[in-house]
Amino acid sequence: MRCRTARRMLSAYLDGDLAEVEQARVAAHLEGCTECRAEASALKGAASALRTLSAVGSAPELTDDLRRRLAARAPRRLSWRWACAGVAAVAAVAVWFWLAARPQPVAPRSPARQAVVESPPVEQAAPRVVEPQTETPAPGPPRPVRHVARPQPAPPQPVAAGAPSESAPTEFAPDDSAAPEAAESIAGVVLLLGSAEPKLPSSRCYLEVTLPDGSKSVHEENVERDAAGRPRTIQIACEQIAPETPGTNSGG
Amino acid sequence: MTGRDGAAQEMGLTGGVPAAAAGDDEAALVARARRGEAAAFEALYRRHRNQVYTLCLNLCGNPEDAQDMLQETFVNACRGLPKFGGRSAFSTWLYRIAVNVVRAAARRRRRDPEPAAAPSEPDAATVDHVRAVLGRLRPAHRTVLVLRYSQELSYREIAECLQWSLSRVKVTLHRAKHAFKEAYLEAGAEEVAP
Repeated sequence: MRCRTARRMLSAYLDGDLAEVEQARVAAHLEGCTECRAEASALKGAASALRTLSAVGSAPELTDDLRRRLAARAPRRLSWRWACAGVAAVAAVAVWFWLAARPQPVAPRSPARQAVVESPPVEQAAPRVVEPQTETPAPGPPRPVRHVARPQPAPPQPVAAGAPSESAPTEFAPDDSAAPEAAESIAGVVLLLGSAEPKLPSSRCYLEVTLPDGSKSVHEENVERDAAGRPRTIQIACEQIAPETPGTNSGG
Repeated sequence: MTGRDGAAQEMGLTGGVPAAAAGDDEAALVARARRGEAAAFEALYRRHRNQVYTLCLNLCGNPEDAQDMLQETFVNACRGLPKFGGRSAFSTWLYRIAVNVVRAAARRRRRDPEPAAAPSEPDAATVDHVRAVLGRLRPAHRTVLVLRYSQELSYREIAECLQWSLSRVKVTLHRAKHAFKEAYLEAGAEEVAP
């Protein structure tokens, strides 16, 4: 073993941290090398000096001052609940301010608006009147539709030509689990209403969506607003119409 | 009501059973302290205070500073107890906090230098001499030497304490020993010289 190698391993040798074979090789080198032996002796003296540090000092007892500091920084197990309560309070205040800051109704009841949205694909179907209760059932498996009857708080406004019959006593609510497209369309209608003219005391939206498979989804929505401009009732009618077949096409 | 119980209630923590705390094993004490039992944390303090104080004293070289660091270490430990996952020994975790406290104090001292305090115990000349030599070394060398020879940690425990790799501990310790040897011999020569 060369001196350079031995000195590199000397520290670990003195700590007994070498493998048995290497420990023996370093020991054999030290027997024959005076300089490395002197280096090892110096290192051993330094290590024994360092070991005097292990004499454990005597620390002070727990003082009242330290107890107070510990109490001030003790972990609070319920702090997250307070944090949640604070977040909820801030959210409630923010919602209250948002509602209070909404503009008051300034315009009288306006004619209903008609929104017609058509999905991009295949068919160039013009906006058309849909009579939900007189449509011929589709030949394929019908989409499940849940019928919900709700009282009308106010007589609905007349809509543009082609709107569904106002006297229909039943309105249709989509079954979201079975008709995701309808749910998305209704969400679009609600967004449309929310973003357009909150000053109107009431508004109506009629939406007809032609789906890629040729079927149609028709949505109607009435929104009544109170004096503060807040929407009080949202009535949603929805119907899925199967693709038209030559036999059932009435020609408009 | 004993003074300790009163202090525990003053701390706003759950009152415990101080006499029984000393007999529990460390993991149980830590678990109880994490639940907020002041008595359990006090038992942990009594169990580890001397070792932590010695570590701080050997790293900073000043008994008064070491007492402050000891307190700071346990205050930080109390605060960070919920984060202690038990992956390392509680003592190793405490040493890590203490090392960080000493480092922070050293940074403050560099900003606001104070005159070095005189040795507190006249009969501890050798230890003070070793500490004086340690004070000349780089902080990393000083830290690994103290952890190794004062706290008698294994290489692996030092790695956990400093969050270093094992090989980095070995290399640093090797260099630190040589640096200490050189500084120690040099200091001895200075003492011998008139």
